Amino acid sequence: MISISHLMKEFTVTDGKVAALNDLNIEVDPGEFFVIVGASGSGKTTLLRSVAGLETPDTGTIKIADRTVFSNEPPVWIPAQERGFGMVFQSYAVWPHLTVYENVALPLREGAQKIPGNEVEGRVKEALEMVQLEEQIHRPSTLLSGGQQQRVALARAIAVNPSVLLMDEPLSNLDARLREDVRGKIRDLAKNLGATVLYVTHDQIEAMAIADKIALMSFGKLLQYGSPIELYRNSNCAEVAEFFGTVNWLPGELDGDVVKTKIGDFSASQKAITDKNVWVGIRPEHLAFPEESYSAKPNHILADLQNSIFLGDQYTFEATASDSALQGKSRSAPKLQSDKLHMAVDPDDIMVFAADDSNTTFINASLVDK
Amino acid sequence: MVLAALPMFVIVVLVGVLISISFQSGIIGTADAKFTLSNYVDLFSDPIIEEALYNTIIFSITATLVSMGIGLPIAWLTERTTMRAKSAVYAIMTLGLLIPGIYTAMGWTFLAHSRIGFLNRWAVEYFSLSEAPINIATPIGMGFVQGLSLAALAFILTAQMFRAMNPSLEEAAKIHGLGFIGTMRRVTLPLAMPAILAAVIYIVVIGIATFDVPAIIGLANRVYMISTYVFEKANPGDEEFSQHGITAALGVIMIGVALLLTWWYSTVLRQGDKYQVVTGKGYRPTLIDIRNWGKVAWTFIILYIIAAKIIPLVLIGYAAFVPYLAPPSAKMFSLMSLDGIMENMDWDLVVRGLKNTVLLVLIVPAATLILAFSISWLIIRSRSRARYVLEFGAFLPHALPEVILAVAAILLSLFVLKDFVPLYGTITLIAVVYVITRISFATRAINSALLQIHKELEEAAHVSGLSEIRTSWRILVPLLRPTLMSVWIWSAILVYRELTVAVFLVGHDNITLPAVIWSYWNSGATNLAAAVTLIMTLVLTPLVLMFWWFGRKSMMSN
Ligand SMILES: Nc1ncnc2c1ncn2[C@@H]1O[C@H](COP(=O)(O)OP(=O)(O)OP(=O)(O)O)[C@@H](O)[C@H]1O
Ligand SMILES: [Mg+2]
Repeated sequence: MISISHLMKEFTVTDGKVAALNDLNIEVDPGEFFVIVGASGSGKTTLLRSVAGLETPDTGTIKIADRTVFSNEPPVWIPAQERGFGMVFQSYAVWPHLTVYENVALPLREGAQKIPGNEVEGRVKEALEMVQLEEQIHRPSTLLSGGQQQRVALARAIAVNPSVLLMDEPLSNLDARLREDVRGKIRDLAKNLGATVLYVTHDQIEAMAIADKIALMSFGKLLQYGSPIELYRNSNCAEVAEFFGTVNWLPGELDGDVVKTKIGDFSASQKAITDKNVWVGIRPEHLAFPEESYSAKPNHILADLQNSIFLGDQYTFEATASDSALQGKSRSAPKLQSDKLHMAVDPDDIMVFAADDSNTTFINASLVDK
Repeated sequence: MVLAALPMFVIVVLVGVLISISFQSGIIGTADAKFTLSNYVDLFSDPIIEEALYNTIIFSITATLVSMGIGLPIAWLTERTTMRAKSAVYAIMTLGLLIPGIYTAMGWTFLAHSRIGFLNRWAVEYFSLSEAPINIATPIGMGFVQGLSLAALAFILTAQMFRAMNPSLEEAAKIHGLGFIGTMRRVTLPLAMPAILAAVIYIVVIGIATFDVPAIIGLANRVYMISTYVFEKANPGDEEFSQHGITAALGVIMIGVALLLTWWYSTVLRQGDKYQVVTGKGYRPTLIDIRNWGKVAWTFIILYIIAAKIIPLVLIGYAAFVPYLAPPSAKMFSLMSLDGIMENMDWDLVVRGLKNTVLLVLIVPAATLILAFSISWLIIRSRSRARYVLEFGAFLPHALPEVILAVAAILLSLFVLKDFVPLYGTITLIAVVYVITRISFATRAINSALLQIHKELEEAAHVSGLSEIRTSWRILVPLLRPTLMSVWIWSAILVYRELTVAVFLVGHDNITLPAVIWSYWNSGATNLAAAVTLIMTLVLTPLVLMFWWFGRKSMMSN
């Protein structure tokens, strides 16, 4: 549905140039709920605005349902007005001089589709019902709460029946509780409409909760995209792994089927790694407490418990094994076997990354932060 | 884009024509014209120019001192002290801004002219003086009158500055033991200095180029300023030829000076910005308690109003109905009637003037708004490099003295366009110059309003499929309406009362109402001039009230 290839965009700023989009390639299937995540300044908004037609990329192509809307060679540029998308802005951009009704009606009446006057009212009502705003229909939009304005923006975007819906951090101005509630509704709404959604957020939990697919961006580059579980379990680099949750990093050496580290061996049989120097990554939630007593086997760790905190739904704890600090999370309290903590990791949960420049730099920086 | 570039194009042409004619002699504008520097040489060897220059300097200094001397204390009192009824001060000062300088000038001529001035007559009578003690028709006298009429502007300029100043700086000084005088001298004034200096330069620029007050008071008495000298050169008596080359040369020099001063002004302003240590929204400055001094302050303000606005208006009313000018007395009051006006007034002329003025008031503000809106939109929203050029272009007319623009327009229509478009003596020519002179102000006002409108409001319309034009019409214009309204009415008022460009450009057919006043005044028919002024005021009042109404609304919505 949306196909982006080799997209580049540089901004000139006072101290040089910023590559906001750096050779981006993305395919979004029809009807997919596609979420773009990344740290602040990674280029998410620029990508979304380029798709919307509000920003002109430097090079590359953007195709929507096989229609090229941007390309530098041959030059093609379809302005935003003619792309026929719906968009929810971070500021909502609800027109303050119009009522709720007029906000939704204006694009229908005077937009590209020019819906006949007698149909407009029905369409507006339908859209407002979907977001449960029919009660406020004739209110001036300035008298709405933040959550209500967000819904007006949503209604306005879906009223035109767009095949593509773009949303730039639509929930960032809502309070935490409302956010969880609304994100589910947005997903349901989009699925009912059958629209393809491109959704920007910087919150990885939000992304995991609503996405069919997630794309992770960093400094204008696309690191990886795929289903939430793929990105969580089969991260293609250390940065992706760490974006979706804390990771305990251990340097090690590959030796046949196992990686040897200071705190023991870990199996790496299914990992397609050939480098000798590697990083082993273990998520805190994957540390389990086996019943049997400890013996030096692959994937088993003997450590000293430093502390443990009870948080109601879980425990978090810190342990050290051969000077390496490990963070853990568990449902039950950490169990000691004669003063020592015995932990084990399922081989499927072990992550192994080549100790190349980019992974090592990233991990060292993140170890310093911890 | 074309709309936005239009005013710039006109300005460039006007300045270009001025420069090129300043270097021509012989039959200007034809192939016979010769390139020469003689215009500049003649200009500097004219003895009157030296006198005019000297007069202008004295005049500007006096006007600046008087206007700042009145405006600055009132601004400080309203913004920084516990003086009461502050909104009334704002109301009075804004109205003061709207009452034209010619009113004050006419009123003070009646009051203090060496021959007819009532004050002089009384003084001579009661103190048996041999000659009049006051003469308003001197550079200092005219500067005083101009200062009275510019005080409102000085107030507005400096009140903004006092409002933006961070009060915690003053408070810090107080906490560290500086008294009221110490704080004033060590903190308040140094902080305020750049803004005060900027206001001074601004007023000096106006003073140098101003025409109406020196023309009303000084021209009949042959006391010349640079601006009135330009007028004499461009409109000589029957026996002389107009010396367009010399006028153009003087214009070029004046543009140079004005640009320099404006450049200085903006540098000073920028320096002032450095000091604006975060003011934060919604802070409440602690006000200085002036207790009973409040009464003194209000007396000062009321005296100013009486001197600058009320006396002139009352005297104009008086002068319109008396058969000859003499100080008010029982006898004069018994002689008051409408007869003089009815018999001598050329009603044809007045109606023609009114018609033209109404036409200008309808066309000029609308055209100004459309052009200024296009320029602003390009400056604020487009990323093209053209926006810097536009920004400068929109700012330029602000720096160019109106007198010079008028002269350039005459030269353009007489020598360059005469064979293609007969613009000379038409209302179109006046309209074009009016639009040019108003565009800077309008652009600046719309710029700052447009900056407040979140860009995503427009983008939301684009994504929804609304075209550029529809987006402007449905989203931007309604959101900008308060600003557009006040700019529109403000321009209408300025156009309505304009008496500088008009005096240069009017002829038989395109005369405007203020120019009618001017021509009566100039021919010595003071009672008719006063009567037309009264008619003009009657029409002006509703406009001013409208401005007041919309101005308040737009202030509230911001
Ligand atoms: N108009 C612009 N001019 C100059 N630089 C820009 C412009 N817009 C974006 N940038 C730069 O491009 C980079 C990417 O910006 P972008 O807004 O796309 O980031 P983002 O991922 O949306 O960040 P956030 O999560 O903070 O919204 C940043 O370094 C930003 O400073
Ligand atoms: Mg963003």
